[in-house]
Amino acid sequence: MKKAITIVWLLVIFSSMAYIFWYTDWKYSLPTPVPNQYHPVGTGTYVDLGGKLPVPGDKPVFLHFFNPDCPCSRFNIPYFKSLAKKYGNKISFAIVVLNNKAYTAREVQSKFDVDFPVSFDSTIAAACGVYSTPQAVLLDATRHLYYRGNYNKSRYCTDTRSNYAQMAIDSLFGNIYRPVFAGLALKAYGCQLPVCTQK
Amino acid sequence: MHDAYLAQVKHKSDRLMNYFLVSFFVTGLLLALFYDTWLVAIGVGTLSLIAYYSTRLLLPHSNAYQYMVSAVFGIFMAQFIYQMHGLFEMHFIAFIGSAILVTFQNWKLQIPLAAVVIVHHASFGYLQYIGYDKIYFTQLDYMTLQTFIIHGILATVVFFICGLWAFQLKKLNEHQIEQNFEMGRFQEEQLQKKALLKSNDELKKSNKELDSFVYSVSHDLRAPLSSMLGVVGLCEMAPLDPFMLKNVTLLKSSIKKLDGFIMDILDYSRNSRMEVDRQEIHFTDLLTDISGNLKFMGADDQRTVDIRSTIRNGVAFYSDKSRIGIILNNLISNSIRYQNPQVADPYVEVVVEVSESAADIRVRDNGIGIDKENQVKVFNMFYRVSSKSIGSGLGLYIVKEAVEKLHGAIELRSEPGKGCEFSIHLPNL
Repeated sequence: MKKAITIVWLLVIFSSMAYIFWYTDWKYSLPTPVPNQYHPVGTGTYVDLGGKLPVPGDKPVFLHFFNPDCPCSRFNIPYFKSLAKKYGNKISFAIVVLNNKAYTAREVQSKFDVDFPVSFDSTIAAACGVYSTPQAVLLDATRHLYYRGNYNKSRYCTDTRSNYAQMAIDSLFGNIYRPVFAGLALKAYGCQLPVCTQK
Repeated sequence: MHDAYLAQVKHKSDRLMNYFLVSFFVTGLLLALFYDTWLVAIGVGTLSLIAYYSTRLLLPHSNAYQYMVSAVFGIFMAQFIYQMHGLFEMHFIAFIGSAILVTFQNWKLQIPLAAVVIVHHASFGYLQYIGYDKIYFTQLDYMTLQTFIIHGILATVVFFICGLWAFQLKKLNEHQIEQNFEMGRFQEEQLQKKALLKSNDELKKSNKELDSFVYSVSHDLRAPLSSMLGVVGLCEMAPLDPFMLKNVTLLKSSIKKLDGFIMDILDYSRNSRMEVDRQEIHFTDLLTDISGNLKFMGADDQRTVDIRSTIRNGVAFYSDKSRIGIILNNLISNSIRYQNPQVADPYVEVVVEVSESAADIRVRDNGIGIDKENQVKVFNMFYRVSSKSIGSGLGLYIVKEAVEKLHGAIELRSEPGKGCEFSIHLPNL
């Protein structure tokens, strides 16, 4: 009798565990809700940085939108570092911190172990049509929007076959037709701005 | 002893599990700091602990809860990997868990852990492989079946080795217990031997003391008595008036009584401590000696008792000569002492039948006999039927002790007024 009770009880427990995993995964799969006053910025739009970031004018610019409080952003740190290392001589990188708390540029740079320019100006996000973190924005040499979207197909995914940001960089330099990014690349996920309520 | 050992192993292992499981849970909380995976850390971690402790509570007499620990380790590993979003290094948790399980000394506990790991990996890997994109399992392009099998084999090797050590540990400890047991027994034997040697030495010492005591008694106590008897004898030879003569006679009988008492005590002490000396017994000679000694026993006005003997010996009989002498002497002297004044010819008859295995001796007289009530008591130490009895009360006690020392048996049949018959059975040594 006791054995039967134990088995049933354990099944309940294991089902609950499975549910927790499933539920968490489901939450991760949801995209960030689009904010109310969102102005979409299409690819090819001229983005005026207006001196907000000290980047050289002749190279393409890669903007990394980052929030230290966002777990997806934190997960993304090593990947961004490897991207910067790989393409650092071809394009300029910059980090835009979207967060209400006071960080210094030095602190942010030390997280990535880099010396890229850091900005705390959230208008850059609006100018690029970014409404979540982490997001990658690639502006070509003439400061036209080439790519704005996710780094990969889901929050914690590191599948090399869906490294969209890297694909965008490669296509920019390969002078091939821009790949058609759809759905998973462009439907932003991650933390809302400025404070994440749904992780 | 084996059960006590098993209980100890279980108790110790259970205590260790408490620490490990709490550490795992806390690790989950610490990992949650990285990517805010609090729901998983608290939810799954708590459920794992509940699963373990409730199994222990619900089925306390089974070791099912140990198998639950094994499964829980696998679940914690999955939890940590999930919390770190695919950090491969967390797989080491499986091997840590496998090593922890060795403490239970039960190789079978590796199975649930291995099952969780293999089934989970196999099912998720397969689903991703066939293209089910809701499951994200591995980022590696090259996760072919071959790679998967190699990983599986290596993991199984770790589980196998831990299971082997658990098994060997158990065997070793069981062997150790057995050896300790043997060692304990051996040590006890050694101690006993030592104690025996010590008591042997002490015995030799006390025997020596007894020897000198007996020597003292026989010489120093009896010597004055015999000189007293001598003096009394001298007095008797002189012309004495009736009053003096009566007193001297009383004195003589008291001295003889005391002397007899001392001799009985000597006999008793010799019987109890001397080893059995194996000699061939010649009953005829023995009885002749005894008759000779006892002829002048007893009060002067007592009639002489006729000592008759019938010896039937086909084979030689071996036993302790002095003890048999004492037995016969005491029985015959009793018969003389307790003769029936109403009977015309008082006698005591000794019949001996010797066979290969034993000698049966019967001492029969026509004395005053012993009534049923006293028959059981006469063999007791210092027991005399009446205070008017002449002896010390030790005679039959010594007879019984001597018979027992020779591993024999004695029986008494008697009727008051008719006489006594003592039947003694002595094994042929």
